Order: sequence, then structure tokens, then C-alpha cells
Amino acid sequence: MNLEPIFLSIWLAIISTLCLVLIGVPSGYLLSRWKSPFKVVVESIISLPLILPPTVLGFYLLLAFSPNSLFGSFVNEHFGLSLAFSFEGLVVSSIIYSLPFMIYPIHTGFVGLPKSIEEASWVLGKSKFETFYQILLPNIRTSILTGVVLSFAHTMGEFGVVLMIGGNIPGETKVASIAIYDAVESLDYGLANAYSIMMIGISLIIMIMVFILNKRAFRLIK
Amino acid sequence: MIEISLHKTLNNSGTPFEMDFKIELEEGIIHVVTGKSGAGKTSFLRLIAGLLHADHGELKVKGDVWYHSDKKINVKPQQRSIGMLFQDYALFPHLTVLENLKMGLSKSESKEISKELLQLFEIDQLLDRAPETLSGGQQQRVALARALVGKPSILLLDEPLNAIDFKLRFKLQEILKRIQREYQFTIIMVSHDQAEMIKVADQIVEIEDGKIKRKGSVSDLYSIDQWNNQFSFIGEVISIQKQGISFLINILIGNNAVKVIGSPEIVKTLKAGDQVRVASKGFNPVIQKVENQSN
Repeated sequence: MNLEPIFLSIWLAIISTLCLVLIGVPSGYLLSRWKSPFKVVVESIISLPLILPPTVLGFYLLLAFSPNSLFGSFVNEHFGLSLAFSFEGLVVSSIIYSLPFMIYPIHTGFVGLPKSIEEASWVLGKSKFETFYQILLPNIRTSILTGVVLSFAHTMGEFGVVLMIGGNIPGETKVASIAIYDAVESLDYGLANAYSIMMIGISLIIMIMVFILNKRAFRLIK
Repeated sequence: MIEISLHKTLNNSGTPFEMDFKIELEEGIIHVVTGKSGAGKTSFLRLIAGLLHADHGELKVKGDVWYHSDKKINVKPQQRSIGMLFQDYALFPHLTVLENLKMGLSKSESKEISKELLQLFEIDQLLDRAPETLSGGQQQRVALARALVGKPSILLLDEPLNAIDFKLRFKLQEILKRIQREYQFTIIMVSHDQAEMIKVADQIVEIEDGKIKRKGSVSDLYSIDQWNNQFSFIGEVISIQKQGISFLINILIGNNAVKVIGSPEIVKTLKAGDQVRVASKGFNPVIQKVENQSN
């Protein structure tokens, strides 16, 4: 049996989640401290993937990724990447698609921290950056963990967007969810079943890890 | 001298609140800032700390300019030599007591925290504990010690002794006075409690509607001397018992409970926990030497 789709799904989820942590932590912080009437607009835009059909997002991403479009040609010229029907394109779309799942837990974590903790650290002489990573980040680690798990799981289960912009290229864009769909279409129920059981197993392991880690994180705080 | 001339307009839910603080505060003494809630007491402390940015004005401490709007000088809170005790103590929940205290040391200083400070605040047994596991009084002592480890020249206290019971409050007032005398720094503390003011304040600053209303010593502002001919103490009502037509009021003054007869009229205005003044008017108290004193 070809395990490539499973590994591709895991790899895609790992890369996307890493990128999302790097994007989500600073933007979650900025969003929590930003006071402006436009905040609600920005929050709504970030939340759009929660309610939009994945095909809508996929359709526009496909247009944007096309080498004829402004964005597509820019990426092609400057980074030598073609985003449509490629693994890199899947990473970019996963990041956009899972963005609310990373930003919101982190945003909530920062909002929940009393402002006085941050100010006390400044008064004690710690710079804003030192305060951020020595005081704020350790206190929202459970929120970050929640964001990581939700984004990872969401990316593993991605189907609609991948179908629209990734196609079905083995080793490049044929992730597990697509492989299952593909197997069912060609009436290979045995293969579909094997992939599905593996996905259930992986998801279960992730969830068990989360619960264990969460418990430990809570214990550390207490 | 701490020269303050700061102007700030806060916009709380659409209603502008204008603050204009002009005052000179002596160094090396305890200033108690008082006033109604919402008068701007906390903002006054935050402006000095640099946590709240003034719109314009000047702030000079010992001749150093901390803020000058025309010269575009605004020293960051990190570089102002201040210690601050927040209303919620603001202990870092993920760090132990010792780690919390070490956060107050700068990199250049030695990593040792003075044993004297730990013993003074009676927290030398708590160093490995997490802040969450401490009682309110313990948390407060840790927060106070943390504010002091960096040896600030000004200590700002935002209603520090409010949340704890009378006995603990009494003890902390003593400690505050002691360390202030020993280290000779300036304390600016917000307090509502008249007994506390009379006990610890060298100078009282009254704030009203975002402005300094008046400044003076305790006896200047509260004219205690006119009131008490012979003696006068501030205490806390513990309980009130009916005794025939009058009432027996138990009052805690310092560490001693005293019983005072009260008329129904005065009892109507009192309840347990109220601060009261116990003073004599007509008679001369008897003074007798206590024999066999242990100290």
C-alpha cells in the first residue's frame, strides 16, 4: 500500500502549523492590544474561513495563484514558485484556511492576562521584548498548544481547498483526504478503508497527546 | 524634590476626564494620596511611573527630567527608578516566589537577594512556592519585596493595604515605615483609610476631580489638635452590644481591644468594621507607670 498520501498530509500539517505559530503569536498579541473601530473588520476577515465553503476560498486562491494573476506572477518571478497545483500552494492555502484556529486561542490567551503583569514587568526594568517572551508567552502556553492542535488537525482534514487548488498529483498534492476520495471514486473500498483507519488512528493519537500535555501544562502552572 | 506638572485627558467611554497635577513632593518621606474613587489617584501614580503618557507637562525627579513634553523627553518606565505595588499584586503566575523576586534584579546586579529583605517581609520560607498557593497577605508581601529588590528611589503603592485584615495591615504599616526610614526612599501611596494616613503619612495629598486639592501634614489637614484635648486614637469597631439603654462598643485600637459606652444616636451611625476616633474631651486621663516591664 502506498503510504505517501498519509505522510504528505502529516508533512503539510507540520509545515503549516509551524508557519501558523510564527504568524499567529505576534498577530494574536497585536490584535489583543489593538484598539480601533477597524478591529472588528479585521477580525471578521480572519474568521471568514470558519464559515465560507472551502470551495469558495479554493476558487479565489486558484485565481490568485494562476501565473497570469498579479500575485501568482509576483511569486513566480521573485521566488521561482508556482503555487497552483503544488505543495507550496497547499501550504499557503492551509495557512489562510487555518488562520482563525491559531489566532483566536492565542488572542483569547493574551486578552485573559491581566495588563498589570505586563506593566509590572516593565516597571521591574524588563524591555517589551523580554516581557513578551519571559512573562507573557509562558503564561499563554496552553492557548498556544490549543492553537497548534486545532490548526494541525484542521490541516490534516483539509479537503475542499486542496481539491480546488492542489488537484491530485501523487507526492505533491495528493494528501490523505484526496487519496480516500480518489479510492472511493475508483471503487477501491479496501484502500479507502485503510487510509481512513490510519487517519482515525493518527487523529486519536493527537487528541490523546493533547489531553496529556494539557494536563501537564495545568499542573506546571499550579 | 519631585516636581510634577502633568496634564492628561482620559477618554473614558466618551466622557473626557481632564487631569492637571501640579505639585512638588519632598523626597525621602511618605506621601499618602487620598480622594474619592474616580478622582484620579491611580492615574496620578501611573503618570509618575510612565505607564500613562501625559499629554503635556514636566516631571523632574532629583533634578533628572523623566518627562518633558516640549523637549520631547519621555523616560521609559523601565528606566525610571521606581518600584510599584499593583492593586492585584501582579505576581507572575508561572514563576516561584524566588523567581518573581529575581525579576526585580537588573542584569548587572548580583543574583543574591538580601536576606534582610526576605526576613523583614517574612517570606524566607516561601521561596519555592507558586504565587497561587499563597494567601492574600503573603502575596502582598512578596509583591512588596519584589518592588523593593531593585532599590528604587520612589515606591508607588496603589491602595496596598486595603485587601487585608486589620492586624496584617497594622504589621505592614510598621514594616513600610521601618524600611522607608532605613533606606530613605520616597513612598507615594494611595489610601482611603484615615487611620492608615494618620499612622504612616508624613505628608497628605488630596486629589479631587483630577486636580491636587491640597497638601499638608496630617495635623494641618485634619486639625487633630483642635479635636483632641487630651488624647485621641483611631480604631476599628469590632462589635456593638446593647446594655440597658446604652450600648457597649468594642473597638480595636492598634493591638488592644477597648470597650466604650455609646449612645443610641451614635450607634445608629456605626457598624462593625467602621473606622472611629476615640477621644477624650472633658477629663484628664490617668497615667500610671507599669511595673515589671519586660523591655
